Formats: sequence, C-alpha cells, structure tokens
Amino acid sequence: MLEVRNLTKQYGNKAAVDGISFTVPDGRVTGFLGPNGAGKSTTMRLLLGLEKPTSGTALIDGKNYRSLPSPLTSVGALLDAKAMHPGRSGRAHLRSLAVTHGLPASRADEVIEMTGLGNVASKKVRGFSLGMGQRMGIAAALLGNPQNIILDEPVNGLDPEGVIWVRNLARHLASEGKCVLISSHLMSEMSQTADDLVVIGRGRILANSSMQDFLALANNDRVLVRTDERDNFARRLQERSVVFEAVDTDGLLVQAPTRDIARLGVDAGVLLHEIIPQVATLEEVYMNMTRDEIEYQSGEFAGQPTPQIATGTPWGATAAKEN
Amino acid sequence: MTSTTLPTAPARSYKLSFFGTLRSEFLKFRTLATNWVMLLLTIAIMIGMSAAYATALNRFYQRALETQAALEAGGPSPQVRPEYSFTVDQVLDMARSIGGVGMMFGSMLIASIAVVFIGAEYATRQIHSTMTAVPRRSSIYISKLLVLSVWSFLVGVISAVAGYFVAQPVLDPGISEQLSVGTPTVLNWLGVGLYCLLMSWMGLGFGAILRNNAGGIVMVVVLMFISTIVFGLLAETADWVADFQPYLPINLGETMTTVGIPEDADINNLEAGIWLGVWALVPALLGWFRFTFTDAKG
Amino acid sequence: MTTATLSAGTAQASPNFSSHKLTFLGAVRGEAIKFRTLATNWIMLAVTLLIMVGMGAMFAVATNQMHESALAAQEAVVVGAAPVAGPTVDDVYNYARGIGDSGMMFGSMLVASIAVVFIGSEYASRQINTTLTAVPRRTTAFVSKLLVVSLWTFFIGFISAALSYGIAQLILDSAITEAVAINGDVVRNWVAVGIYCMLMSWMGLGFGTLLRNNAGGIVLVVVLMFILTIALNMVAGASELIQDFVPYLPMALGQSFTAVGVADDAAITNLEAGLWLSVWCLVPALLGWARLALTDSK
Repeated sequence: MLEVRNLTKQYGNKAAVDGISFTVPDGRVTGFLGPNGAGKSTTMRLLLGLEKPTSGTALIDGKNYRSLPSPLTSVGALLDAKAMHPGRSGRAHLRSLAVTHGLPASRADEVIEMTGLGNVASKKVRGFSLGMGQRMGIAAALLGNPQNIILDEPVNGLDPEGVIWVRNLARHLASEGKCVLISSHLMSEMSQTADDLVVIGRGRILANSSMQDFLALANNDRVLVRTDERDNFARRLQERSVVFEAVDTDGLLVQAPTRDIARLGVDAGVLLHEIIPQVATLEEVYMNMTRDEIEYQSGEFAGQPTPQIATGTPWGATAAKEN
Repeated sequence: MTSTTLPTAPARSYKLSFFGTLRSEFLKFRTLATNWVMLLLTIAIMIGMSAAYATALNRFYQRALETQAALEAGGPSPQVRPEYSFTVDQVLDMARSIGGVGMMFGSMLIASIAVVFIGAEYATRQIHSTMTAVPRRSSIYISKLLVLSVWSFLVGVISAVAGYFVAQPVLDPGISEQLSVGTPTVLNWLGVGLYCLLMSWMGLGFGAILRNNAGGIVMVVVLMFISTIVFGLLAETADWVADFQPYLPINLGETMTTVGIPEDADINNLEAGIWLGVWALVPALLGWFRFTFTDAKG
Repeated sequence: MTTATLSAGTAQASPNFSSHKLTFLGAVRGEAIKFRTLATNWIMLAVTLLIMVGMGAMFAVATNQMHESALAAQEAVVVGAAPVAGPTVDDVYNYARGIGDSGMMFGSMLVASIAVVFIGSEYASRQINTTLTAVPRRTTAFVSKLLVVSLWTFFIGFISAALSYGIAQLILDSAITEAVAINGDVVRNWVAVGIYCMLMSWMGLGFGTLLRNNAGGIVLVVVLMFILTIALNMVAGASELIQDFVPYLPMALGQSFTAVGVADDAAITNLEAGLWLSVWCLVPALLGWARLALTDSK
C-alpha cells in the first residue's frame, strides 16, 4: 500500500507537488493521470526516496522508503526506461541489482525471460531501443517480486504485444493482492487496466475515485444521429424542444433516449441511418477535467479542425514522456 | 486542448549555409550556463594568479637589487636558491609578461570546455539532432572550431590584460614605474590568447576522437602535464630526450609567451608558437577525420 | 528488430523474496558486479599496467646512466677532485629499490579518472536512480562504491609496481641488481604505490560525487594534483610560507610517500607523507558523501 499525505515538493518558488494526499490500496490497479509537468514523476520519485519532500510524507506500507529493510521486495519501480549505464549488458545490470538483496542470479534470468529479453540481455544497453529499455525497466521492477509496483509510463515505446502484456501483468499482480500504481497518457489503455484513478494537475489532486465513478462524471445522455434529411429532422426536434447540436455534414448530437429518437424518425418519415448512444470515454472526461490545468499547451495546426468526437487513441500512438 | 495556432511556415526558400551553421553553434555555445561560469572562473583564476605572482616578483626584485649592489660593492652575492635568483632585467621581463602567469590553469579549463562542447553532444545524443540539421560534417566541425577559437582567444587575451593591470598596484613601484605597455607586453597578451585558442583545438580534437568527456580530458592532461613529468624523469636517459623536452607542449607554451627571448634563441617566441600549433593541429585534424568519416553512433 | 515474445510470466507461481534483505555486503557485491561488467574498466586496467611497467623499464635505463655517473663521481672523489652534484651510488640503489613507482603519477591519474567516471557516468546515464532505488541508504551506496574502487585501485597500483620492478630487473645493470635485493623497502614501495592509487581513487570518487559530472570531477583532480603544484611552485619564491607548504601538496606527498631511503628523522617521513596525503583525499571523499547523503539525487 502506498500512502501520500499532504505531500509538497518545491523547486525554488515553484511547487511541483502541492499538498497532495491519496492512498493506493493493495489488490487494485491505480491509474495515475495528469498532463505533462503535473507532478506525477515527482510524486513517484518522492515515494522512492530519490528526493526529500519539502513537507508531508510518502510512505510504502507505512514506512519511509529509505528505512525499508528490503526495498526491492517491497517496491519495484520503473521510473525511467533507460536509467541504466549504457556500457553494461542487460543481464549484468539486473544481476548487480539482484545481489544487493541476495537474490539468486537465476532470478535475473527469470525476469529476462518474463519480459522477452532473452535474445538481447547479453548485449550492451547502449544498443537497446526505447521498447527494449522499457522491458529492461519492467524486468528490474519485477526482480524482487515486490508487494508494491510503481510504473511510470510503462507502455511508452512498447509494441502492441508488449502493451497487452503490461496490461495483463498489472491485472495479474493486482489479483495476487499487490498494489499497482501506473501512470500513462494512453487513456484507452488506462481505461482497460485501472480500477481506480488519481488525477493530478499542476501539483494538485483533481480526482481520486474508482474508474466507474470517474466516468459517471460525464453526461452520457447524448445520441449521435445521422440522416440525409438533417434540416428536416432538426426542425422536428426543435418543435419538441429537444436539445441538439449539428455535427459534421449529416449528423446531430441529440439529448434524448434512443427509442424516442427512432420513434420520431418513423413518425416524421425521415430515414435515420445511424443512432448511436454516446458514452463518454476516459479521454473525454479527462480532457474536460484537465483543460485548465495543462501547463504546456499544444499549438493547433492551422486549418486543421480538432476532431470532435475523440475515439480511443490507437495502439502505439506516442505519448509524450514527462521529463 | 489547443489554444494558440501554429502558423504554417511561409514557402520562402531557406537554405542551409555555413554561416547559419556557425551562428547555430555560437547559439549553442552561449546558451549553456556552464560556459559562462567557466569563463568567469577562468578570468578570476588568471587574475588571481597574476596578483599572487606580483608579490613573488617583488621579492625577486629586492633580491636582484641586493645582488646587484653587492656585486657593485665587490662583495660576495647573497645566498639565494638558484631557482629564485634573477637579474633586474629578468624581473622586469617577467613583470611585462605577468598577465600570462595563470595561463596553464586557464588553458586547462578552456581545453575542458572544448572537450565537453563536443563530448557532451555525444553523451546526450544531441549530436544526432545536430547532424540532422546540418548533414555536412565538416561544416559542423569547422563551425565548432571557429566558435571555440574566437571565444578562447578572447578569454585568454581578456584574462591576460586584466591580470596585467590588476598586478600593477601590487607590484613594487620600482618595477611598475619602469613598465609601460609596449610591444612585448601586447605580444604576451596575444600569445596567451593564442595559447588558449590552441588548447581549445586540442580539446575539441580529443573530444571528437574519443566522443567522451572523460577520455578527452584525460588525453589533454596526458599530453600537457603527464608527458612533461615523464620526460622530466627520463631526461638523463638519453640526449634526445633532453633535446626533445623544450618541444613538449607545456614548455612551448611557456616559451611562446615569455618576454625577453632573443630572436636567435634555440626556440624563439614565433617558433614556439608554430610548434605548439602543430601539437594542437594534430588532434584537431584527427578529430575532424573521425567526425567526418565515421558513423555518428555515440 | 526481432523481439522475443513476452512470455506468460504472469502464469508462473510468483516466488516470495520477502525474506531477502538489503545488506551492506550485498550492496558491495552489487557495486563489484557493476564495476567488473564495464569493459572500460578492464581496458583502463590494461592501459595502466602497460604504462606503469613501460615507465618502469624506461626509468631503469635512466637509472643505469645515473649509476655510471655516480660511479664516475665516486672515483673522482677518491682521486681527490671536487665532488660533483648528483645522486650518489647509494641514492641510485634507492632509486632502483623504488623503481616500481616510476609510472605512478601517470597510473594514478588514470585510476582517479576511473573513480570519477564510476559515479559520474551513473549520473550521466541516470543509472543512479536505479542504484539508489535498489540501495536507498546513501551511506551504504557510497561506502560500497568506495570499497570497490579502493580494492581495485590498490591492486592495480600494487601489481603494476611489482611488475615494473620485475621488468626493470632485466634492464638494470648487473652491478645494481646484485647490490639491490627485494627487501622490506622494496615491498613497502609497492604497497605504497597501491595505497597512493587507492587514495587517488577516493579523491576521484569524491569529486565525481560532488560534481555529479565526469568532466568536472576529472578537472578538479587535475587542478589539485598538477595545476596547484605548478602554480604554487611558481610563486614559491614570494614567501617562506609557500615554500614550506609546497612539500605538502598531494603530488609531492605522493613522491615522499613512496620514495625509498627517506630517513626516519626527515622533515616528512614516508608515514607522515601517507597520512597527509590521506587527508587530501579524505576531504573530497567526505564532501562527495555529504552531497550524496544530504541532497536529492536529481
């Protein structure tokens, strides 16, 4: 279990993390979301004792990380894919970590096999791709079969198979009663992996709830309707004071039950060739919530409209890695 | 999600030019805080060394006067350890070149900066961005060399001038009144600048050959300091070792910046500068070869 | 790129390691693995050995020549001529006994660089985050590193010195080798070279940890070892204080420390030199430890 209490970390005048509190329980996968620079990595570094908090505490199973008798079997962490000396082989890297806790050398080979690095583990880390670096990082995190797992952007750079593997791994670890904290920018991935969510923006907690409760924050009562006679159907809706808005060239977003819409179409003699209830995705809820909390806003490409209905981010879409 | 609008680039024709590359390397150089810190450090140390050396010169001057007086009186010269015994003229020449006494110190820092200017690009893989923006290797290398040359020359000259003037109030009035900024002093300043410039070539060269900060700096140290110590140890072994000693880079640097060497000396100022140029040019050329003809794998 | 399939590790029964605790010995073993799995360290070992042995051989040639001059001088004295300055035959024998340390300055610079890089490159590659996650106790992590480099560098120094001595025996005049046998002085010289290399590794590790930077750490070592020596020697004429201090500079202490034939009542005996030298090296090591233990690892 990870416990963060009133945690604050200041760099100069700027608070990277500003009095946040949350708990990551055992037996569940907790997603850690937030825009770039929101304080996710800082929180994770504070949990691991790599930095000292300005105030507040970050505890692992009730203890300070630095005072744990057995850090590697308490927490496994992937913070930074290539936080490895480039001149050493992957196997040597893992063995050097394993011996600190007296873990058998065979354990390094086990996690190498688990993460599919068997072919490259004896090569120097220098030549590893981003994906292989991620696998190495995950291998290091699994080394001590720890009770708590902290993964910062674990699927960044992984191939589709790796993404699915990480998802299954997280679910499996949680089912064994372990505590799993994962940060990611891939919302569709997160929505399939996490049970709970902690959303952070500009160093403050924006939401901390189960995935279901979080998704319920959105209004899910809109239906996308497509028809060749849009103006005609829009007039009918207006007559009945139904709220709607036009999308694309032939679509309407209507706030009414699907059955009523279909009935209206039949009554009016208008052919509706699509009637789709709009369920808010994690991405939409998240974007709504963090809109004002984004520190580094992207520019818009001239002449290119923002897609109105976001679909799930495709596999392999690159998520910007936080610094 | 989006707020500002990215303007699309107007379709004007932008071309990669050597001048552009040069400006880019200059921009890269001056936007690293380390380089400015090192600049201040170098100047501060060189000035400090000049001031400290001025007090030493005052002592030498007093002794030289005593010796002179004793000799004129026909008596025995006072006992002074030979390495600290100079004539008045020698002391004056040393005072003329007082701006350059911290040169060894300063140039080591400058050589390190030069090593790091390229070595850090490999360490951070910045070199890939650099080479993608400017695929012509020689352009990059020469731009880096030019930026470093200009900068290190200026650091050297400025430090030497500042050192000279800071030393004046410290110097015995007997010395300082006989000094004026003449050709020898100005040549000394330029010599210090040139020395720093050549050291930056050596640094950039070794940095480019080894593609590694630590390795490049160690090579500079080996060539500058350790080779000097080693040859000193072995000087008695063979005549050629003793003959070669004055041609070691650190000794050449001393000779180049010393005031009062006669034109017909074994190695005069100019010759020392030329030989030192060879010492610096060889690593710079090797670095250029490695940079230009082998893959940029860090 | 072919990637092996991620095996269904999730299906395996997961082992329980909670009885495995982080121990100091474990941390040392971890650092030892990290040290020996870097090819650079083995290359540097070979280079250091080669250079030190080579310098021992060259110095043997020089010793032969000094021996001849000393013999000539001795004969001259017997004949009744004025004594010639230079080492006596006994001095030469002592040089021969201490020939193992000929390449020490060179070797120790490489050793110090290895130590700087052992920690500096962990910061450069962010490996330090992984290291401190596995071993969150900063003092344990630092002392483990210190122990590993200490052992390694001691052995490099000791073995290089012994090998140099051995090779030099083949080159030295039989007149010298017959007069000089391996005795306590000789072995003490080898051990002293080992300790000197070890102390230099403390300095290197200390500065590397303090600056978290390869280039900066090496430059600081160079400043303390070489530049300080040059600078203070230049101004030594200015004051008795500086002249008295010069023998206490680390490089001079290193030479007094390893020299054979230093009298027990000398101004600085071997032992005293060793103690003062360890102060020079302990200070950077402690500063490095403080930086690691008390500040964030960013």
